[in-house]
Formats: sequence, structure tokens, C-alpha cells
Amino acid sequence: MIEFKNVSKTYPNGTVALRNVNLSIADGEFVFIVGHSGAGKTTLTKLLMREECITSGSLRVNNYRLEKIRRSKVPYLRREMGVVFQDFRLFDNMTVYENVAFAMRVIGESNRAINKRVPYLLNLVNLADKCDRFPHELSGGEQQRVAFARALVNNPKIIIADEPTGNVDPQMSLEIIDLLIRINKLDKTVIVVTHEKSLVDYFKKRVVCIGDGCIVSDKIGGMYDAH
Amino acid sequence: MRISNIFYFIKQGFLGIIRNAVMSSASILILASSMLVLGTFWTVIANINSYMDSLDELNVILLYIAPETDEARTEQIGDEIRAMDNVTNVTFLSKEEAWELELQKYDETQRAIFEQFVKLNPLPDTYKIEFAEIEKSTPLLFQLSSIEGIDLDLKEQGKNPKSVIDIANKVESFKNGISMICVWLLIILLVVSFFVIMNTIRLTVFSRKQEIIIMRYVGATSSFIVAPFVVEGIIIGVLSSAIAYGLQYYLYTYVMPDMLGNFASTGLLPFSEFSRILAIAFLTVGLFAGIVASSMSMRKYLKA
Ligand SMILES: Nc1ncnc2c1ncn2[C@@H]1O[C@H](COP(=O)(O)OP(=O)(O)OP(=O)(O)O)[C@@H](O)[C@H]1O
Ligand SMILES: [Mg+2]
Repeated sequence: MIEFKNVSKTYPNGTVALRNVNLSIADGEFVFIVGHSGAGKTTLTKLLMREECITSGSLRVNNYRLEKIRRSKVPYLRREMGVVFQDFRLFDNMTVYENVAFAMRVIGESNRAINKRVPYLLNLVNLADKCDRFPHELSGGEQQRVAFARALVNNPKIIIADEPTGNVDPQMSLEIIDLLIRINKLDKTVIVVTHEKSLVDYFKKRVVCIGDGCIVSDKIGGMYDAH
Repeated sequence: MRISNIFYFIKQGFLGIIRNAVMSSASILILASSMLVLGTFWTVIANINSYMDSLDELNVILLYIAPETDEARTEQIGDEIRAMDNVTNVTFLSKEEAWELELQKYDETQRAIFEQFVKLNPLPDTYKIEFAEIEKSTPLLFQLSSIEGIDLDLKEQGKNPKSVIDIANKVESFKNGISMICVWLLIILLVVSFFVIMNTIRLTVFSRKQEIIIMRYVGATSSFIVAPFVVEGIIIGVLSSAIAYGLQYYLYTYVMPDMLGNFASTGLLPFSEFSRILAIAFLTVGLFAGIVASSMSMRKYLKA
């Protein structure tokens, strides 16, 4: 359950990135977030994981009220979601395997659980043969898939992907969205931020369109329609 | 906390040390030197104290009577002394008895020679005065020195009344002097080592800044992020204390006796007297400096 109520976000430099956003996403939903560059899509995901604090309004993620969450609880909020960042944010000095394993180590999983789960996920994203490579030895699309494996490894209830198709060819884009749809069928909430009109049109899911920090349309099965 | 996590923290802690080996060695050396100052100070003071304890004549004063003083006055002097404050026991040693005592130190033949050549007994009548409180010895010495009929020549030379309190006081003030110097030196060194450790760990933290940020995004708690750096601090602390302990042992058993020459042979305390207390003190200082410095250098990075 995600609920934005009159949420505004103003960055310290005065940029108003989001204005009075009201948005509710139920458990198990699949939502595309679209909008022009600089519309505030990434800001929305940053608010969800409390990378940035909301300036006004209220925001709820599962049982966490983000306008008054304690600092010590933030790590646990973040464990509720798996995020694939626009810039991947992989550990440069760890191999593919270690990158994925590390997300499990952080939440205190045993070595045994790690050794069982990580290969499964690397298989899922087709990277089993490259598990000993470092991120700089991978293509953009491959790095993205590592980020995917890491986001999924702890089996979070919410998956957020910021431009997951930005670095891959059309065929791979389809496969990635297909993977997300399969994940969604496992009763997980999936939020996909994207520019790609064709993809959004193709999959006929809920589409929330943001323009200049405001929600300009919110249609189920809707068309990519930024203006 | 899981065992596998503990291994991870320890591994990361060592990696941190290796990653900036120069700064780590600098912190270890500086911390170890402050411990050495502490330890050396400790052993020296302990030795002085044990030496002072061995001086059982600390609360004895000898008062020499002038040769021209008659027997009646001599006896009167004894009564005057007994009436004084702080005095516990007064024994009279006539010059004959003193001479006899002196002669007993030699064997038969030597004694015969002495008796032949030294017809005139050179020793004066003497009062041996025992007293209770060393702190109140100064007024007692003053009172004794103003008694009429004592040997004034010896008084001129500062040998009448005669006591070892003077020496004891000098040792005491010497002890206080080096204590002050050592305490200040110690404080300065501890502060310096504290900052050096803090800087060392800050360097590791800085080189892993990006990593720390990502760790936070994947849901790592503050304690999980801090632990490797605290381990790094602990390793620095423990290594420093081990090095300091080894050096202290070497200094005390091999270098100090050479420096002190004769005094050493008359009885430096064995190193085992200090081994436990020094080990505890060094570890405490090391762990404290390491843990506090590392947590302080991390503070900035723990804001959500
Ligand atoms: N840390 C920041 N400080 C100040 N302004 C920021 C910051 N991050 C983003 N902004 C501004 O906020 C607005 C929204 O940015 P955001 O990153 O959310 O856009 P976006 O919709 O994700 O764009 P894109 O599609 O290009 O990724 C932009 O005008 C951007 O310049
Ligand atoms: Mg963006």
C-alpha cells in the first residue's frame, strides 16, 4: 500500500519537483510512471525510499508514515522495496555475485541462504556465466540486470525500477518488462518509471503521467499521453 | 548478529588497515609510544616506592651529644626528648657502646689493630630517637637541633640531628616532578594518537564513501555500516598495545638495568610484578582510543 496525500517536494535550491501529488497504489498493482525529462519521476521514487524527505503532505508506504519516520527505521523501510536505480548504483569493487549477495548480507541472511538464492537470481536475469565479473566489465544492459537481481534478492513486496529499459535494445526491453510482469503476478507491487511510449502502450497497464511535478493523468490500460 | 557478519566486519576492518597502511602504521606507532610512556612511568614509580619501603630507618633520628656535656645533662636531654611530641622510643647509646658496636663489624685481628691505634674513642654519646609520623618530622628535627649540649660541630655540618628523611623528601619530590612531566606527556600523546587514529579511519571512510551511500540504499542499518570501522579501530588499538607491551618488556628487562647500573643489581622489581596491570592498562587505552576515534570519524555518514 502506497499513498501520497498532497505531497509536495521542494529541493533546497528552490526547485519545486513535485506539487500536491495525490496517488494511491494498492498492493499487487503494476504502475507505469511516465512524463517528460525533469517532470519529477525520479523524485517520486526517491521520496518512496526516503532518499529525500517530503516537504509537505503525507506519504505512507505499507506501515511506515514517511513524514514522521524515525531515522533508525529507515533501513527497514528500504527493505520493504527493491529499487533499480537509474544509475544502477552497483559496488564497483565487488563482483556481480558479491553485489547481489551483499544486499542479503546487509539484512543479516546466513551464508547458506545467500549461496542458495544468489545463483537462482543470476540465472533469472541470465548472468550466471558472468558472476565473477566486476561492474565495469559489463555492458550497460548487463549492469542493469545485476541491479535487477539485487533489487529482487530479498524478495521485497514493492519493486521500483527507474528507467529499466534505458540501456537495452527493444527486444531486451520487452523481456525486462515481461520479467517485471511475472514478478507482479507473484503478488508484488511493481512501479516502472519510463520514457518508452511503445512499451507503455503495448502492456495496457495503469499509467500515471507526471508533468512539471503534477499528476496530469492516471488511466488504467491508458495510452502514453504526456500532455 | 550472525557469525558470517562478524567475519565480514573483521575482514573489512583488516582491509581498511591495509588500504591505508601508512596512516595505520603511524597511528599504531603513536598510540604505542604513549602507552610506553605510561608503562615506563608506572614501572619507575613502582620501583621508587618499593625502594622507599625498604628503607626501614626512615623514622629514626640520631642525635649526637657534645663531648664536653656531662652525664647529668646527657640524662636530662634524654628526658627532654621523651617529652617531645611524636616520639615513640628513645634509646641511649653511650660512646663506649657505640664503639663496641662499631668494632663488632670487624673480625678479631682487625679489631686488635683498631684498638691499638685508635686509643681515643672518636664516637660521641648518641640518642637514637624513633618517632611515629614522618609528616611531623620537621618540627621534631627543629626541636632536637635546638637542645643545649648537642654536638655543635656536627650540627654546623648539617649532620646533627641525623636522619634519612631529607633524602626521602628529595626522592619524593623527584617522584612528583617526573609524575607531572609524565602525566602531561601522556595527555598530549593520547590526544595526538586519538586524532591520528580518527584521521586514519576517516581516510578509509572517505575512500568508501560511495559504497556507504549504496549500503544505506539497500537497507543497511547504521550499526552494520559502522561495525567494520569500529573493528578497524579495535585492530589499531590491540596491535598498539601488543607492540607497546613487547617493547616495554624489552626496555624493562634489558635496557633499564644497563642504564641504572649498580642500582639495578640491588633490586629492580621483576617485570612479572607489572605484567598483568600493564597488559590491562595498555588494552584499555588502546581499545578506548580505537573505538571512540572510529565512532567519532563515522558520525557524519550516519545521517539517513
Ligand atoms: N538533488 C536535487 N537538487 C535540486 N534539484 C533537483 C535535484 N534532483 C532533481 N532536481 C530537479 O527536480 C526536477 C525533477 O527531477 P527528477 O530527477 O525527478 O526528474 P525525472 O522526471 O526523473 O527526469 P528524467 O526523466 O530526466 O530522469 C528537475 O527539475 C531537476 O532538475
Ligand atoms: Mg529520472
